[in-house]
Amino acid sequence: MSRRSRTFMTLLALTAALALPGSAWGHAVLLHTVPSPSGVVNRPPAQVSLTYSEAVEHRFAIVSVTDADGTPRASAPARRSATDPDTLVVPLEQLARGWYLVYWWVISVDGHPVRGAFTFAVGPNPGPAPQFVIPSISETAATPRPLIARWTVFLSLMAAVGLYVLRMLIARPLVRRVQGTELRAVSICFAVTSAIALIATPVYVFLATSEFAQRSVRDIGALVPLIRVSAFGRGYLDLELCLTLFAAAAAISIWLDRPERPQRSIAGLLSVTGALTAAAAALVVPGLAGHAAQVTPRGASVFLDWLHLSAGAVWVGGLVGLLVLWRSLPSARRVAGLVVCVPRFSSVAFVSVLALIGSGIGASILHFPTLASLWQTSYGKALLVKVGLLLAAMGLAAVNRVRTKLRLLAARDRPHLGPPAAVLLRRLVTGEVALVAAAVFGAAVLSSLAPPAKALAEVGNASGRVGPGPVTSVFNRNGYRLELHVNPNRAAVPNSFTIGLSRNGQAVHGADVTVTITMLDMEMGAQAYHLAETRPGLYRHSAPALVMVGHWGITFEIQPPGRQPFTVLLVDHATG
Amino acid sequence: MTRNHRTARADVRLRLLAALLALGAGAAALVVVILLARDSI
Repeated sequence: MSRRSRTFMTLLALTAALALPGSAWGHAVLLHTVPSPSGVVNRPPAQVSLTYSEAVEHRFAIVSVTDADGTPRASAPARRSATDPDTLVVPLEQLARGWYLVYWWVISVDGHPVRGAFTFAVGPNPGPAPQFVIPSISETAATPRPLIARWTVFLSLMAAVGLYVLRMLIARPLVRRVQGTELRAVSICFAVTSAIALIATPVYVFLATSEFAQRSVRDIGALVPLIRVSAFGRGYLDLELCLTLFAAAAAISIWLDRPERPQRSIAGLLSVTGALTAAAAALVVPGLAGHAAQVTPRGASVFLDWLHLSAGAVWVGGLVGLLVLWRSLPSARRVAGLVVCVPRFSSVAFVSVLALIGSGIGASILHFPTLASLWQTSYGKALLVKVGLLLAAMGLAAVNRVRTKLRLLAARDRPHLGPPAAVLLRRLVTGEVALVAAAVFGAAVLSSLAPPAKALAEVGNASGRVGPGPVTSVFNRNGYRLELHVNPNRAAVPNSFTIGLSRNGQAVHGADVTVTITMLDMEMGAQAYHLAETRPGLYRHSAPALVMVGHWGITFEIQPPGRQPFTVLLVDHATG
Repeated sequence: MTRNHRTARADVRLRLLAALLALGAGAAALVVVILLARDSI
């Protein structure tokens, strides 16, 4: 990459980092409901309203209201409130006395489905809360069809940008230095990968929208208008636009380029600048439409995502380009051609890999609340697989750098070293391409999973892991004996949270005890309840706080009278 | 001015026009991304 291009890229990145403000933003979180969760209303409500932390699209939302028998009680689908875009409203039939389950499923702005459930009752005297069955709807965007489409988009986008960089900035001197060679094959490969990216992007958006909207892919008439409704869909349609502009600018610059001349013309320089700008812009979009834009600080997160993708693009596209060059060069000039290109690419790839590692580590620090969430969450495990594949590819790259490159350079004086070095290069580069392509698949999985909840940062301090089933745990803290109960420890039903507090065998009276309940499997708002002292030393509160099946952080905060407060954190697994 | 000169000048103009188109495409992509950032952030 030339000094001019490097300066331009740096300026662009800095502008993007400064232009993007930083503040907290997670997935859509349910803030408020009417009726309230576990609330008992004396008159049947005409509707259920759910207020979220951000506007959610009602055409992607599923809200079911069912009675104890599982019979739907909503009289119409969810619609957006006329007065508040953040609120969904579900009209209800005339409800009889009893308990009802509200189950909701919405799409966040970054395209991730988020779900939850709560119960309410119509009274008076609705009777005991029944065990509801939580509807089974996939909460992940990592289903095979959109995942493969997403991988194709990522890989073809990265390969197209990398091939362009190789063609215009790395392999260009080849034509001048080795007579009888040309870069036509690399240009054709660039055109093919660009075409694949241009086709795969709308296909991916379409498949993902059909998954999010829970509609068949054959329902084209209904799906197409929905695409631009979500921020995710708009983002990827903008990627399509950027890709088109990049492909056009790149085609013009390749047409204008005269690689046999050492100096580029002004027209050539202008067109390369335009194409690189469009490429840089296209590589920003996946971050803006995905997790990166949802992590604080957002400017730094989007920049790291862009750097990661750009570095990966230069690496994987360059590797594909080297293979194409290997095949396309006449066998008599193959070694001479590789002697020109490989050392230049090797230096660029080395810097790219460093940028890839640095930006990956930086993004991980922003995304992962704890080190343990690397192996405790699906997101972390997907990242570990991706890192493993990249390390294997880097191992092959290191062999290429310290062995193959040197042998190719030595072949200028000792020609017999050339052919075996070229064969070794082809084998290693093929392996690298396969490993990096697999790592990009890992990235596609990663960006389809919900990142770990920030609440996981506290799990490292957990006093114990409990559940499923009723919980009874005894702990000794600060000279106090605590007997903790969660019963029946099931989702979407009232659970009693009880703590027996004693010191030296004596019940401790008058303590201030609260329980804070946080969903660990996804970002949701925490709920806090004050535990009432039902008899000396026994504090209790009952609430359907475990609103869905999954892992919950249950934190008891105990403030004994006249003593230092302390906390006990349980990691609980609640089943339905 | 000979015919060859005129052809050469037309060729230069065409190449410059194409380069400006490419530059415009890059600038347009940048504007798209800035608008997307304003929309989604």
